[in-house]
Amino acid sequence: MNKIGRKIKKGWRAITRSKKATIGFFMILILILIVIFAPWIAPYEVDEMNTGPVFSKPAQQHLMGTDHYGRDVFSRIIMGTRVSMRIGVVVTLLAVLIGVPLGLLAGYRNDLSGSFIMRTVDVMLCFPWVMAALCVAALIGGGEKVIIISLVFAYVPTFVRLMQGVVLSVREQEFVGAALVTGEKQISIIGRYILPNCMAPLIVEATLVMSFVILDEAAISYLGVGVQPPTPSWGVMLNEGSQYMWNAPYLSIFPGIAIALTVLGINLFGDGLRDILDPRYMGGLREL
Amino acid sequence: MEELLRVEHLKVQFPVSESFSGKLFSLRKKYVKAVDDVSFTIHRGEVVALVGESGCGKSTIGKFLVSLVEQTSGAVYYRGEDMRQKGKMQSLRRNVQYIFQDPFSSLNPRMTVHTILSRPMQIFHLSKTDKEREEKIQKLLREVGLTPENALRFPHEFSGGQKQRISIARALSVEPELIIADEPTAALDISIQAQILKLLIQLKETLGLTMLFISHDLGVVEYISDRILVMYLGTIVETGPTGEVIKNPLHPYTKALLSAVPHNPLQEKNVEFRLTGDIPSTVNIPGGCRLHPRCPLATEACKTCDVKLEDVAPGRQAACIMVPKIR
Amino acid sequence: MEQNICLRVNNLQTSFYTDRGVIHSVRGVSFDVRKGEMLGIVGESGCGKSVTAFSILNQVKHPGKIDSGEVIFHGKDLLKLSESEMRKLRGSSMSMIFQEPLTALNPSFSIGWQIAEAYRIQGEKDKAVIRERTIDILRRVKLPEPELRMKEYPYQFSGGMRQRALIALALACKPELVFADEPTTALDVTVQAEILDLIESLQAEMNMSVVLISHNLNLIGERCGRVLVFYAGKIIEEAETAELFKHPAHPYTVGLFGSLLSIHQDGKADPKTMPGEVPNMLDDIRSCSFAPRCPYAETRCFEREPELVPVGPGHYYSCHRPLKGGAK
Repeated sequence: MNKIGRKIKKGWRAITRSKKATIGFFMILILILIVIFAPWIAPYEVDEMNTGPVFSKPAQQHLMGTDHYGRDVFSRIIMGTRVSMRIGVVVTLLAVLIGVPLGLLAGYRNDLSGSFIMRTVDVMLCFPWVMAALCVAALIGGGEKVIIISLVFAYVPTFVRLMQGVVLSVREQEFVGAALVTGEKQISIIGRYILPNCMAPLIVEATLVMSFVILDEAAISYLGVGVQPPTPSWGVMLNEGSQYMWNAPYLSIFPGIAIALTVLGINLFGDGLRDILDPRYMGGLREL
Repeated sequence: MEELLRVEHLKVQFPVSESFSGKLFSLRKKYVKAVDDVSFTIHRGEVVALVGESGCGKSTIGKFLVSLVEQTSGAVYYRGEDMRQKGKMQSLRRNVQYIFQDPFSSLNPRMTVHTILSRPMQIFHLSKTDKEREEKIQKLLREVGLTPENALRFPHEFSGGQKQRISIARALSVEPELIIADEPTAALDISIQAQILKLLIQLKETLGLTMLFISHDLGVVEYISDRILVMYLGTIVETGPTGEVIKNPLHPYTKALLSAVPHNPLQEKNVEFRLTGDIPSTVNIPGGCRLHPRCPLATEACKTCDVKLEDVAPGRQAACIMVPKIR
Repeated sequence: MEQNICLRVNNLQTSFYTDRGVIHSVRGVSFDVRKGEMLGIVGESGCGKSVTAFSILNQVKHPGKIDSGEVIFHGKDLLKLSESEMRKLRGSSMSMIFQEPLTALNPSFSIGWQIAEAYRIQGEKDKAVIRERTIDILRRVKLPEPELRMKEYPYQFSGGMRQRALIALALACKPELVFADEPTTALDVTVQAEILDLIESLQAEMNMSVVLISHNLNLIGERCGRVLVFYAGKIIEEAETAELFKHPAHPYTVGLFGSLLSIHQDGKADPKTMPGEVPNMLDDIRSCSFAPRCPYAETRCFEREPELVPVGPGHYYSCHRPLKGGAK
């Protein structure tokens, strides 16, 4: 128990060293709290109609106003956090889990299997992901599954290419040769020497991808094959709100702000995390 | 003296990666002949220097001996045992260790010194208990002139000289017999160079190591080595005891190398000898004697003759038709 | 005497303002470069020798800044010149040969074009004249077949050839003063000597002043008439080469000689190592910068930084406890 406590303390000290990480950390913390306590925070049910007059302006009764069915926008945004974050996290995780090992392999084994992976990825990149989404939707119907499958398909190539490039440069460093000479096995070379030195760009890319995924979810839902109404995702809300842009701009502004803040928080935290995870950042540098 | 390592007719070639059209139109694949028919022996307890300029194949030989590079042909005998069988070269790693040139990239920035030193011991099961391992790490650090407290720090917290000390400690952690030091001081400042060289010599004495020292700097080589192998474009052109080779170089290339090293202006130079032009690429190695396009002494015969390393004096060999042979 | 001076540097100070603090790279350096001489600057990495050259050419890049000092050339203070005046001067009267010839040449233009550009900047318009002068300078640096090779690009040249091209570029406009910053460090040993021979012969032929910067004392000793020894951003000893090699006075110079592994024909030399490492230039140095490594350091060495004072004709050092006559 004491050990865990010390680890948390150490982690906390590391995070506070980077201003970016601290701000991002708090933003994500708030998001996580919202995700967990959403039903308690939201004053109304998400699909409860006529909670007040339709298109009422933001006021005490309805913090962010009501939409064309008279549903409370604030409640829908709070509950929508769950949907958007779930999609963001699941897609990014899956893309990392599939893309990173493939990229590692392609970069480390610069032979036929490596080029096979890279060429496959090139083909995948040629295929527009919106098309993929529509195809998947035609096959299995709409919903969250479509978003997840098509976005994972869209972002796996990003991670494969990123990792391949980074691994190619890390592999040439002399410490990899030194590890081989001191008897390290291939698997351990990849796990202990190459992967840790690829973490910085990987983390930055993953946080970027996560924010893109949240935006893309909005786009797919806009096309009508993603999250189905009345489930409140930020994308669906943006989509619905855009029809009333002139009369009730707050219908699209608030989901937009929610997306922007989430993306900002994740990016800040990712940037900060990259610095923290680099041992060179912690102490005073000595070069120059 | 007991023979520790013998290399016979070693050849190492790398294919040149060509453009697509090049692959289409040329029938023969081009190769970089990094090492071309090299044979030498290292005896136990001796420091052999492999001297030459960049691209002469000296590092390739070193990397071959620790299986970082594969041979095209040739044989290696370690303690008289043929290493040609599959996997045998790899097993040499327990006995042969390598010190890299650049201390700034040869240590994993994500590992503490402690991990860097304890990994090899774990891999080769060199310590039975944790306590034994800790003691060994402390001993290693002290041996290379660092304090045991340094174990928990990361490589970037050290200066270049200290990093090189850590690299040396890592090489020693598996208790090797033969150390290959690939220009271990080239990336360091002059005042630090001498510190590291002294350390290597001292370790060699106390631990009874054998060393293959790779360098282009004859000043350093003179200080550290017992015997010299001079390489040019993948072949050995002269060998002999260090003192004699430096006092009286026989091969024109050795002469040029020696004369090119900046001398103390108060001392008299024993050779003044210049080559002309640059080192040719290892893809297009000149025929005949490899040095002939640059050698001021070259004759017509040098362009076509087949030069071999031949005995020219007791314990000395040279590959030049202009050097008189002993019969 | 005054007419003999080509360049005078007075109390030059350059610092780098980084996130981690101020790095005092050059901490008050004064020296003269005489007309037609080969002056050597020797020191280890981070001692400020290259930054001094960049400061004189007013080419210190951000976050570096020249804090104070004067650089007098032809009666004018170069540090007060405008950027365009300075650019003109850099092309014509002063130039620099860099350490890494591949990065100092533009990969997208032919060698000949890059050298011709130097003449164009000087206002030469006649294409035939430019071509003739380009071929002439390439011939002077002993580039084989200059008429053909001037059409080639840097990647087609070998390391030694590139360095020749770079020297040609630096000398194109017959400058009075050339800084050569470790011009041979990136080259192979046997090529190094050839390039240095070339610089030496061109210096005599064109009667230039050359400031040769290197970390190798012997290299400086072989080529230069006078030597400045740099340590931690200051000149700690200045002398004629023969005098410096015979009677080094500063313990650091002596230590540098001791660590240098030069070739001895009579058996092995035993290097005398200097303990410790170069000081961290982030610190504000108030004592003698060498004191922590110096075997002769006394209390006063840790209290006050010594001034550069004369020991003999043309021989200066900054030390409280000099080694008289040298303890080599």
